[in-house]
Amino acid sequence: MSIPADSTAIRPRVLLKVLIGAAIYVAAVRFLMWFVENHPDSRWRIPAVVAPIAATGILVAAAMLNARGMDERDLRVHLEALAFGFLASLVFVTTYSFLWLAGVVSMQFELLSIPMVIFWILGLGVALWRYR
Amino acid sequence: MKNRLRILRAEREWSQQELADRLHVSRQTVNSIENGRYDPTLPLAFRIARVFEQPIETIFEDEA
Repeated sequence: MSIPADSTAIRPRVLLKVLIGAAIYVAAVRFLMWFVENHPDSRWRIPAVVAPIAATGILVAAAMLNARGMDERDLRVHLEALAFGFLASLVFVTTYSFLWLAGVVSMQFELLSIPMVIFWILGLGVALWRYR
Repeated sequence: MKNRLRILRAEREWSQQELADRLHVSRQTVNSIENGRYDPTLPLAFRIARVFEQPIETIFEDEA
């Protein structure tokens, strides 16, 4: 499955930035969790907890700006990719939650974004292949 | 939906990129329409008709 280099639906450089951003995000969240757990009396505790929300907001704004520059086929590609990513993530999170309730796995909320990104990329690949 | 995009483009000796630039879409979108993998929306179909100076029904053919 090859991704066309000139498609506005996905540019390899953008995909690389998304993956690097996701990795930095997970590392930052893990650091903030360590900070919150080990500094329970710090006045920076609450800002540290809400900091990832600001980063997520910037990501959403960047994604929306990028979507405005796409043509109709590429918007369709992303709609299908997001639909797949959302529904597959829903199935994953539900399954993970039941396994957590059963005591099979430990809950690590900060890692839930990784399968979401993976499912989105999978959906993107399928949609690009369909409208190749 | 079948279409005559590839034929009309070839008659004018336009590349896919040239046609894409005239339609303000990506080359990949032109390729997808030509291969019949993507059906354009009505506004884009009208733009295609204007670019080729032909009625829509002579470019697109309903397979139903």
